[in-house]
Amino acid sequence: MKITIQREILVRSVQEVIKAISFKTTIPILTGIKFHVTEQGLTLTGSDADISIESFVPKEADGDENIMIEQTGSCVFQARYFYEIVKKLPDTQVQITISKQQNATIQSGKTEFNLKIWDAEEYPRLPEINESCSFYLSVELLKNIIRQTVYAVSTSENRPILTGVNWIFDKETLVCVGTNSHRLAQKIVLQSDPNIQIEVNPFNIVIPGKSLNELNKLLDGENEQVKVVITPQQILFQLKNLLFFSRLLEGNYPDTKKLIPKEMKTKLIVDVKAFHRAIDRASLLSKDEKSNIVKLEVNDSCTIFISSNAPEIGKVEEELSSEHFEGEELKISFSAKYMMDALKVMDDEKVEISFTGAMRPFLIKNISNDEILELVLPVRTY
Amino acid sequence: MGKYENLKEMQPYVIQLLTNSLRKNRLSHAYLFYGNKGTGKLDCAFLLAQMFLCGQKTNEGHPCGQCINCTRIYSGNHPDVHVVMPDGTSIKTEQMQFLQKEYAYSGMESDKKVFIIKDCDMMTVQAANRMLKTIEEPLPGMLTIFTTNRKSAVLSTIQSRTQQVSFRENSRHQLLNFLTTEGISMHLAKVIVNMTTDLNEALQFGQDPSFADSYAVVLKLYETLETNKMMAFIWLHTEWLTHFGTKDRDKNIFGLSLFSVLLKSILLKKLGYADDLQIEEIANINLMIYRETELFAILDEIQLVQNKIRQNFNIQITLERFMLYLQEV
Repeated sequence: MKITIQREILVRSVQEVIKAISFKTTIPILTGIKFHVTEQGLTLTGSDADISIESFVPKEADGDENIMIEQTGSCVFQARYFYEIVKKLPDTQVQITISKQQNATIQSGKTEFNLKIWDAEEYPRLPEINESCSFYLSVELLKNIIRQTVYAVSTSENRPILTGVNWIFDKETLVCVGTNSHRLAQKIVLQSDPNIQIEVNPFNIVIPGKSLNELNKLLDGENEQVKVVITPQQILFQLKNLLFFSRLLEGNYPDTKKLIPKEMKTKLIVDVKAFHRAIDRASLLSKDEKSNIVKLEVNDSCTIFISSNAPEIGKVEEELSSEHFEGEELKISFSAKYMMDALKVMDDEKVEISFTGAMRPFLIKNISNDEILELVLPVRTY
Repeated sequence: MGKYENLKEMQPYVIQLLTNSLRKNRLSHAYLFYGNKGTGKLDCAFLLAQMFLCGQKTNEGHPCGQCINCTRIYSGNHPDVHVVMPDGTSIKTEQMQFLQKEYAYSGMESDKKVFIIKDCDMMTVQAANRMLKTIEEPLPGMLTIFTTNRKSAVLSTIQSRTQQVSFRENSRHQLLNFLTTEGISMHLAKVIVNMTTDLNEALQFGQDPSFADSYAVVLKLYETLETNKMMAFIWLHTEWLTHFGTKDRDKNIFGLSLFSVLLKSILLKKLGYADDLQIEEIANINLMIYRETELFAILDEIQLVQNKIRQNFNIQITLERFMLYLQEV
């Protein structure tokens, strides 16, 4: 392998892939960055086994020559040192040469580094991209899906499957669900939505929430559309010159359809901001996770009472008027954090909250559409 | 592949069992490999991982040892093979958390995953209990291998959820063959097989350049006792302590073990149980210094002395006392 590359381009690519690398891994080779040079250009790969990022530098872009390729080949550099080195090289050009089996030379200006390298054969193989199960999403929609579902997933490994977001496609709709068994967030995308181009067989996969958060950081204005490819073991998000792979979660995701109540007894329409602020205030007295509970009461007169009581500190009460009220009177307690998380991701200014009783989960929806659905389990208080 | 042939010789039944179950598609989801130290449990676990993942197995079901899967399993770089071993003195809950996560994720390259838990008796109770649920509801394509040299210390609930495979003690004859093929001289190899049956330990002894010297010192102790028992006390200072030192506990314990090998061989010879693995020096030394009963007593005493040294007794004083004991038996 022998190439000469613009330093800036190299640094940018290394920065992209290094996001995937974790130095705590038990697999030694994963602390490295894989270089793969073909006639078309240079591919860098970084991975922590859960997610992998591949960055491609084409030989030429917009008429400018990025890389001069004298000899193709591949190798693995120790990421920690390599990144520090290329950041601080003096010249705008960097020459990388593999001299012997275990040695590489990095040359820039009058500086020369000799680095030990690893065999690229040892590096994990990323799945072959199979075109048959691929579809397109707009970046905006993908970001929304991530924002509106990932927050609800479980953070504890006790039920690992719940740390992921379930994506189900049934030929008509793409349903994305995240839950930690106390709350649930669901986003529905219709096939007819202009932001999605999907013509594939039905699938049912679970994507780790952590991976989606990492992906979210990579999504920016430069890309308008993301190609998504599903392989048996991994899911791939293809951006411009960047591939993001994530492993999937195995096992059966609970059937969440059964959890969503069909009929309702009480329905409220509230202003998101005002309601959010009121809950926030009521939760001030009970900040710690376990007892972060507020009580809500509604009666015929369209007035909502929000209160919270912390015996050692004090109590708070607040009145709020609802835009619309129908059904039975109700007293219910729930986690303020879950409620606020849910309200934060709503698109509309007003939301509809529907209850089926003090001990049954309640639903939060936009009033304009059914795309997003948030479900929160109440807390039993005595 | 040498490693494979070696294991097949050491543990023919285990290899047979594993290849057959793999061929007939009856591989269990979890195995417990138990047997004494150095019987090839971990090597066998890696071998099973290779058999499970290798795409180019030979007709008899041997892994090829050359494909990327096989080589990466040995170098520790296979992304779907995870090895957990005690971190310090125990396997901790955090390590199990990592494993649990790995169980839940799909494989990186294929739908097969292998988990190897070395010395699983070292799992803390919490760690072991975390493990239970995962091995109770295995997903297809997963293989978990536990290894231990103290089976009775493994949680019974783990034992009952795994298929148990017993590793037999290494045969001393095979060990002798192995050591001589590794270039260790016959007369030292015979001493080693009388000391240990642990393959790795034996190899370590054989490759230690000071082993022959230590053995010579121990032989000299016996010679000294033969010529003049009263000299043993002084000899201790001139020879033993200059060779084994007054600080290094392990070295001194090791020297005493060598001495007990010598005495054991003499005892066996006197009782008429000598076999072809006898140490060669037996033929040329005086067997009459101690009677059988005295030899038994000395062997017991050596154990006590070794324990004392282990328990931080002053090495020099303990050994001086032992020399006096040898004079007076």
